[in-house]
Amino acid sequence: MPKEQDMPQGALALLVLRVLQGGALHGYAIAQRIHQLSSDVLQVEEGSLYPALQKMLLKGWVSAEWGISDTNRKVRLYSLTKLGKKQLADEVRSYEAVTLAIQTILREA
Amino acid sequence: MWSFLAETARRISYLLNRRKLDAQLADEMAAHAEMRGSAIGNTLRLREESRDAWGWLWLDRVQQDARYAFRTLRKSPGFVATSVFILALGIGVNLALFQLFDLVALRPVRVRDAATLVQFTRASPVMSSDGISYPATQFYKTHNNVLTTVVTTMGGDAAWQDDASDRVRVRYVSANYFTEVGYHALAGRLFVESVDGRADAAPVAIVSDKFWQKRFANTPELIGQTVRINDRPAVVIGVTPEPFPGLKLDSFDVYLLIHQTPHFNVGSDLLTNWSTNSTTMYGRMRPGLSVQAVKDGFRPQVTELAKIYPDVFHKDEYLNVSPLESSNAQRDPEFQQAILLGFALTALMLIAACANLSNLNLSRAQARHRELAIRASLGAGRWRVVRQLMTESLLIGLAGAALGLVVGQAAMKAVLRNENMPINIDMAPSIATILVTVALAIVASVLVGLLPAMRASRGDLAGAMKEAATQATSGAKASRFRYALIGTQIAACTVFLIVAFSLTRNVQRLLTEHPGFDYGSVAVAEPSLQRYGLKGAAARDYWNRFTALVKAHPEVTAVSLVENAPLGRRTGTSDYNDAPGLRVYHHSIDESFFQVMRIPLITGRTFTSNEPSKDVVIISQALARRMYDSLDVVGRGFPKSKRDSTIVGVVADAHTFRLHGTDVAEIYHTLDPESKGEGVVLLARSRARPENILLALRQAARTVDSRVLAAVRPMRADFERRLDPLRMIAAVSASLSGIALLLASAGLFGLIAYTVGQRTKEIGIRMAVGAEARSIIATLCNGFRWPIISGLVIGLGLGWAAATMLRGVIGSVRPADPIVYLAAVGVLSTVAVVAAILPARKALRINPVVALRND
Repeated sequence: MPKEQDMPQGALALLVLRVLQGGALHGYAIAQRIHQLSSDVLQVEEGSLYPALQKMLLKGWVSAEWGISDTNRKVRLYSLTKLGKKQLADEVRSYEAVTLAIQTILREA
Repeated sequence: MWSFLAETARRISYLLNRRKLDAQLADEMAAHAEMRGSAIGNTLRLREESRDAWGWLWLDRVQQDARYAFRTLRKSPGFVATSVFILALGIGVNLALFQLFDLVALRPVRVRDAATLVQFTRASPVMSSDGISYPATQFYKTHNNVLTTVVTTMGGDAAWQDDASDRVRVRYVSANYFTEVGYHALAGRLFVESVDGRADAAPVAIVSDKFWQKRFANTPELIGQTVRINDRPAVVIGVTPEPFPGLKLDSFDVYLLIHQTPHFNVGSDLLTNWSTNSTTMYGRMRPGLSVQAVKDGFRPQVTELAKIYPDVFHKDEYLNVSPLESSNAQRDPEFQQAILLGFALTALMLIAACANLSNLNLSRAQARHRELAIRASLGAGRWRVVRQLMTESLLIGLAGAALGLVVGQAAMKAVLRNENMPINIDMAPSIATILVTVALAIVASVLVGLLPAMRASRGDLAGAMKEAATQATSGAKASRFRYALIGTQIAACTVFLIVAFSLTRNVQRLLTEHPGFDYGSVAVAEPSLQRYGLKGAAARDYWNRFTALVKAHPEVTAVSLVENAPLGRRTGTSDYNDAPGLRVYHHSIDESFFQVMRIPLITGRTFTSNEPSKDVVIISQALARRMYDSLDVVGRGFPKSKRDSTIVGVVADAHTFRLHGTDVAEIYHTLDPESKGEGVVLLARSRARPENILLALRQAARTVDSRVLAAVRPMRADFERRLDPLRMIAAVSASLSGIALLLASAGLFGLIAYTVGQRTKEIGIRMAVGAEARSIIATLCNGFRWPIISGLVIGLGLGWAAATMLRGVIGSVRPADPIVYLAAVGVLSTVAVVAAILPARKALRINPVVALRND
């Protein structure tokens, strides 16, 4: 099993936006989803997740409403707004540009 | 842009729903922990970090600080009450003065479109006069292309109904006055140009709200009723609102139409007389014109009039134009100096109050040393502790300022409600006052709290825990700071004492010193003949018969006619190049003036009853000395280098207009018999008391002409009236110095009591080894000798500066009066010694055994 990694700076928002693209999720599910999708490499700390979610609410990228989870518990479900979708596209684009640049350097330097 | 606005909107809604949202966060985290199956660490902290995203955490901290400060302060109500009370005094006097200043000088004149209103005054290179003759104002009104309208007013008094002794304050105004000032009637209606401006309009009157209330208990039936003013009928048509901030700050009881002056003063020629300068003229400038353009626009008219009336107009006369805003007291240099001195003193009071409180705070902070050190060791940063302590100071500061505002309002109202100052202003505090209040609260909090807070927050836990052991030798640094605070209070107190003593001595001196003339037995009669149209030969005839009647009265020993009664309001003054720096007051008098006023002749002669030439003058001793360096000046020309009259006599100094003024002198001219037509007054010396002849004077005035209602009074009344404001200022400054003295002695008392407490153990040891009571008290008080002495010395210096400034405002104050300084030092040292000895004696009751056991 690969070693668990902390989240790189700035990537959390991008990943949260990305996993929300599939539909509304609550906080725990977001963390789980990121963990699973990264094949257990990325671990999301509650200490960074909730402040990040609050910031995204404030920016208007996500909206939240109370709902019922699969386990029949009252949870707050976050979903992507129109502004959030645009933000996600922007961030993916700039992330790809940066990664490409970094990879180029790694290969050729 | 939009997203920023939306974000801000969300931020604010977060602020408003903080509590609910925080609860939701808590719910959410509980759910998270449940699903995860284990606790997720410090949820409280997690919530705080999440909330931080909203950007309102600082507000939480402020709230926290305030809540904590509030809780701490509630535990020491005595400290809070003392602090708030002392601050309220310190801030209150500042606010009272600021509000006075604000009302008199800062607030814009509250009339409609004040920016386009200007006041006109007569001016020439040698004179200036606020008054313009009524026909001249009417000429200017119709002959100009720079004004849209002209407003005229004239102050005065009148007999209410038909009782000559019941005087009411009357303002005669043009019919457009109320429209231009822009106020509406409280009841009935105000003057309307198209109705009341007509020459044949029915005589009407408007009363002020205050008058309506005082005389008629606000009964609406007054409107439409006929009243009598100077025994002449007028219909009351309305009531002015109160306060009614007109073009000047004075308040009036009754408003009448200026063009109906002859109706109310039978025979008055005010409307046609070009040489009666009693009308005040305002104008509204045409849009876009500057004050200078208006001034220039009137030059041809003045020149034209000067050609027709060469006797009335001075050489090179012009109309001076000043914006309404600047016509207030603020142009007056004496007013500026008074305000400056006032602010310096009230600021000093605030500093004294803050020094006192700072000391109190320091003691408190030292008592809380342990608490603060524990908080610091639990991780509170120094800044956090300072902030906490400053929050406490700020709470006290705000409470003190709020109470100070109330105190200041009360003080200001007490001053302004004085019967002799009928000022017509709205006394509600302005925005500026509120801002100044808050600013003073902050300044005071910083002055009071910052240094003690810095000092207190420096402590370390180990030191605090060891404190008990080191108590006997507590920090020398803290003491030095305390000494500085005590010195400051002593200095401030000295200044106040010097100012108060200077003013009190001044009043006392004015009352006891001979002013150079004898006003005590003299009565003044002013029949104001021009009101009844008596002028020229008729007036001269009136005066001759009136004087003869008064002279014949057995109680009267001498009678004199003068142009301006001594101790009256105003007379002409000149500055001569031959006597630089000397203000010379002109008097026009008849042959018996010096006899009536008992002003001794030094050389030469007084005027005769039939002075052959108009060009003779009598000068005062001071003028002779300053202009000629000699008293031997009879026969010489006056002024020295540009003779236009001959000196016939020199009399002793009698500053009948500037009592005890310095650099003041008098020149006496013969009273022109022709001028008896106008404002001449009669002075009568009585054998015993002037009160005995008042009735006779009034009757004599009526006997000569039954219409004439003469105003009569003992000259002493004028003297007292001049002293009233001085007495009031002396009383105010005496109470201020009382407060400062109380603060300083309380500060000293507290400090020495504190020192005794701190040094209990040392005193115990001293007593155990047999020290005498006297030497123990001396040891305790010795440390305070230097702060007190240096405070006193600095205070004496500052006090002298204040007294010198004071002379610029009140000319008769003597800044170099040694008694003032001796008294200040005496009072202060007595109080200081008592305040120091009382707590020090407590030390003598210390039981050495108990003191040493006491840890």
